[in-house]
Amino acid sequence: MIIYDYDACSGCQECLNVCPRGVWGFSKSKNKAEILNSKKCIDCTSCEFQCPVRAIRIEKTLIPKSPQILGQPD
Amino acid sequence: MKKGWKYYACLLGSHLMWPVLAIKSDQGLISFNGADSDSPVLVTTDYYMTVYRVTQAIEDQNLRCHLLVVDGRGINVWCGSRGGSVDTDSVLAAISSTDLEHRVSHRNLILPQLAASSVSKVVLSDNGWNAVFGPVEIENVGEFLENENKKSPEQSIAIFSIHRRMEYNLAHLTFETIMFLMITPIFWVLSFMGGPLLSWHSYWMTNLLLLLIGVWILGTFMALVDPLMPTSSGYVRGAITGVLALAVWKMVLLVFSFFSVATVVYEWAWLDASGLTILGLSLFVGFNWGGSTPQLGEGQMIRDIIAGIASLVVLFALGFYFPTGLF
Repeated sequence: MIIYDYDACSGCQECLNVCPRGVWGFSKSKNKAEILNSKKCIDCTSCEFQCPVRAIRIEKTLIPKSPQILGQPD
Repeated sequence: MKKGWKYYACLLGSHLMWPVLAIKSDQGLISFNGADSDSPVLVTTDYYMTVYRVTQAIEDQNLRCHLLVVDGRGINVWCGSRGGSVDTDSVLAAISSTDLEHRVSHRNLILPQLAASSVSKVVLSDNGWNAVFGPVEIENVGEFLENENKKSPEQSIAIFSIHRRMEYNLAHLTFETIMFLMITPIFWVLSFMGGPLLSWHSYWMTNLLLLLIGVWILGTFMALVDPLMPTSSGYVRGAITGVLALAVWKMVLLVFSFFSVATVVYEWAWLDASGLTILGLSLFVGFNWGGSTPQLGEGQMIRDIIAGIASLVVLFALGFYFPTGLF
């Protein structure tokens, strides 16, 4: 499960750069990373490990769960 | 590099048998095409097949560069990175042991992207090295270097081509063949305990060849139709393949009985040892195969293993108590 702190994202796009599954996209207008397809995530933790502001956490769960996005404006 | 015995041992999945059988390449710094102190430095781990492929790709693209082979305990980059065989310390240790800072004039490293879950750019930067993650496929590294270390979004995605799938399949099926050759005598010995185990006495020995042929057919089928499967779960893939194989098997039996009506009813209602074996084999190959694919997450793999083992136990129990069929 992806836990993503939208507020904390600095827009560096490192998560897009290292994700081998195309889970992440990028909004140029908001300068923030966005989750495009969470179902493709294989918990490899590359995005979590490389995020310079610790905005991403990958939590391994036995039962699949939808991503939690913190601080995203409606 | 020539395709010696090490190449073929890797191709047959020696590392799957036992981690100590993983075949390593020499660690250190390799220079290609007259690379000098200004040439870029690529990084990889010391799994023989990885070094072989990277070397081939560099030579094919005629790249003037250095290759830093770091200690990854003979495991490929992705598995090593997820499994803890390679990390930032491995890279720093290789830099130190090869005296890299005195051999190149710059402080730039091109890391394999699939090492991103364990090699920290920040820590490398703290140690004076600027690292970037290159493309997933080494075949794209030439374009990456030409574009001043920039890659397209597609070059970040791990693909699972038919060629790669057939290679994984060969390694897995060799591993599974050896497993069957090892467990058959065990079941044969256990059959002497009598009771329901007696049915194993002739079953495993006489059917060993058929079991192995079944494993190879099922595994190869799964490798071929991989992109068409509706789920990444190896267990579900195994179940789908098993039901299809069972239908094909029953159809073959029908053909051989010249489509007699009695046989049609009889064969389709009959889930005997051969039917249970096909389902069991397919589940076994399915969840084994799933673990090799780049589509499967750890959570899904654990769910597959739990469901797969539970199903195999149920199929074994049915085979014990209903050796001549369920209906």
